Amino acid sequence: MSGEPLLEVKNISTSFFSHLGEIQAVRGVSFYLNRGDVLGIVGESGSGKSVTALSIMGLIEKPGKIKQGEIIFNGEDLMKKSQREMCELRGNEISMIFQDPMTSLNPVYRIENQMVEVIRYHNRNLSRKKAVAQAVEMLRLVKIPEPEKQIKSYPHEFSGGMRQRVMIATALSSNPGLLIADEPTTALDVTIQAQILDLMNDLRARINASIILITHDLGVIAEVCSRIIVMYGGTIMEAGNERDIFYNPQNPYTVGLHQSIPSNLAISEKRLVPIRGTPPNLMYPPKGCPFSPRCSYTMRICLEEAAPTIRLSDTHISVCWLLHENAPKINGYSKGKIVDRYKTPSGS
Amino acid sequence: MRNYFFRRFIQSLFTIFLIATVTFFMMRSIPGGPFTRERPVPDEIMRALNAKYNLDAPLIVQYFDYMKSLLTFNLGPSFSRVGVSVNKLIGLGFPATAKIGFLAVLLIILVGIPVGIVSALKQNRPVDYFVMFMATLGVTIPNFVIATLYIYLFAGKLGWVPSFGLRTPWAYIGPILALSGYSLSFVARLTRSSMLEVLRQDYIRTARANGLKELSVIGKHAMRNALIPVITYLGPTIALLMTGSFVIERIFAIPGIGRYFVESVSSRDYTVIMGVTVLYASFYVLMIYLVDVLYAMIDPRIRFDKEIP
Ligand SMILES: Nc1ncnc2c1ncn2[C@@H]1O[C@H](COP(=O)(O)OP(=O)(O)OP(=O)(O)O)[C@@H](O)[C@H]1O
Ligand SMILES: [Mg+2]
Repeated sequence: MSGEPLLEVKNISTSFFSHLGEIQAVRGVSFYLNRGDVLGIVGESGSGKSVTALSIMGLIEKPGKIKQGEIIFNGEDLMKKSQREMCELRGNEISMIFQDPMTSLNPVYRIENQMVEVIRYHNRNLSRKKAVAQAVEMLRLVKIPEPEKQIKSYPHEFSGGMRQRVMIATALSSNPGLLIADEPTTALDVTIQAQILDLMNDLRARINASIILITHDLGVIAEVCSRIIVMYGGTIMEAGNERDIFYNPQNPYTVGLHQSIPSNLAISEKRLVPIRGTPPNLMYPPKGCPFSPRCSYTMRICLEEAAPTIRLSDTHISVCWLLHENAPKINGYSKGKIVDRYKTPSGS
Repeated sequence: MRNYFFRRFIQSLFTIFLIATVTFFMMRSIPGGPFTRERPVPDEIMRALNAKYNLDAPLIVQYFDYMKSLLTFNLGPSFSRVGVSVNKLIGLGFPATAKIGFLAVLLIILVGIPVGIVSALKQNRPVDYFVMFMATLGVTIPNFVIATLYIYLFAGKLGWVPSFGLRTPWAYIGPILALSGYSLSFVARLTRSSMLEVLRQDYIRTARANGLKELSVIGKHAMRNALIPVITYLGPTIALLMTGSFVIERIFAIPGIGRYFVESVSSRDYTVIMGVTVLYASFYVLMIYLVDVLYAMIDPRIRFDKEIP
């Protein structure tokens, strides 16, 4: 499955220019995604996960702007594409579903109308009848009961879980190479969450799509993701595969996340330990490591200089001064080589 | 659905009936009558007049008589204009009023809504500022000031349009502008704010994420949702405009219905008061009914056919 990456994000920075000043929501984020893989992005609220996703989609709106970076999808730089070319791409080769299924469907049109519009928009030769048939098939695939009948419903007649299934069905109707799911289960209750995740995993295998799964719940990510990125304050703190992030976390922020999240299996007997303090103000981000004001191991350099990207293994990187060879040795943290900030580890 | 429309229709008829009844008795409870004059009228003449117009019968009998004739759309004779029926009076005044009203409504729909949309799409740009400036003026300047200024400038100073009546097509411009000024501005502002609100909604982001073109995102997905509050406002407003404004008809000397109504109140011309009130009320109720129907068609969440028992 691996090989050349489907998506490469290189050092993108996205800001929102408000009246009060520039909100630096994403600051130099780089990662890659191989074909058929599921990449998880975790981080607290406000860490820039959604903005990263919207940047890839080309959906950053007015006061916002992608200031720099490259987004290479299928060998093409999306930043160089026109709005029109991006429209062709969106919902066709890259699809996205959102956090709140209750409000993500248009209340005044039938499910059929909304799905068929998207299907036919991306496949203009398709007759209406065939498009409807395809929509019904998609609904069947996402396990909506009696899809022929239900497709005539309005969104308000569906539950949250059903609506999210409709969103997934619509997003996948054009066989996209990449599906970005931005907290697709956050608004749903726990049993439905599991069903939706199962469904996504199942569909990925079936239609061979790659997925970026955004969440602030490490537990959700453990089950489905082959690679995981931990974000904080608009930057990447740590990246690795499941084993790296869950059993060998090498960044105080990741460790803090583990300890503060109840669904984490590894430490389930221990007490939950919240991370002290609040996320940084992105209008005036800290000069050094964004986590330094809250970290228990903060050194002087952490406050002054951005942390280096340290390679720990083929799959594992961490952005932290603690791992620098000159830093004092701390139990549980290892040392590694500084690598170019914008190169992601190869292979997976 | 059909059930709901039918039920609402019956309700509307009942509302008109109630309004007619309340007006009838309230009108009769104020002192004076159609033949009261400053100098007392001799008793026998008064009696003869009252007998002629059946005003000497018990009130409740008069009420039933009136309601019966109302059912056949016969609004009775005018008391102050001898020999003229109320139907005739309305027939004389209403066409001019309705013509102005209808054109004002058209202007509001064809200009107010599009302008509001453009303004929303160009938020915080010069076009938007200009539109909002004009709309704020339109909402704050009273219509008689617009009318007077208009006549002063275009009829008086420039002499481009006649200053009264409706004899040439040009003569319509002033009354229409004065009549619609407030609502036109209000609709533009309402459409703009409603559109801005809708554009922030999640389903708009979904539509964009699905790759749909702006034309569909705005024209289809945003529009229908954004128009819901506008329609709510337009319903009663259309009724109001179609029944005209006494002030504007007065300023532009338009032979409309407003003048009969105002005159009839001071002269206690019972049948004219009743006739015009019933006409206004019917319009109002009809428009509100239409709004409800439109509502149910536009927004599937407002369908009441599944009754809660
Ligand atoms: N349209 C916008 N205008 C101004 N600021 C924005 C906008 N969108 C996002 N931001 C800012 O960017 C930062 C990152 O937001 P983002 O939505 O990416 O967080 P997130 O990681 O997705 O959080 P959550 O888990 O709550 O969804 C936040 O501080 C937010 O205030
Ligand atoms: Mg988010």
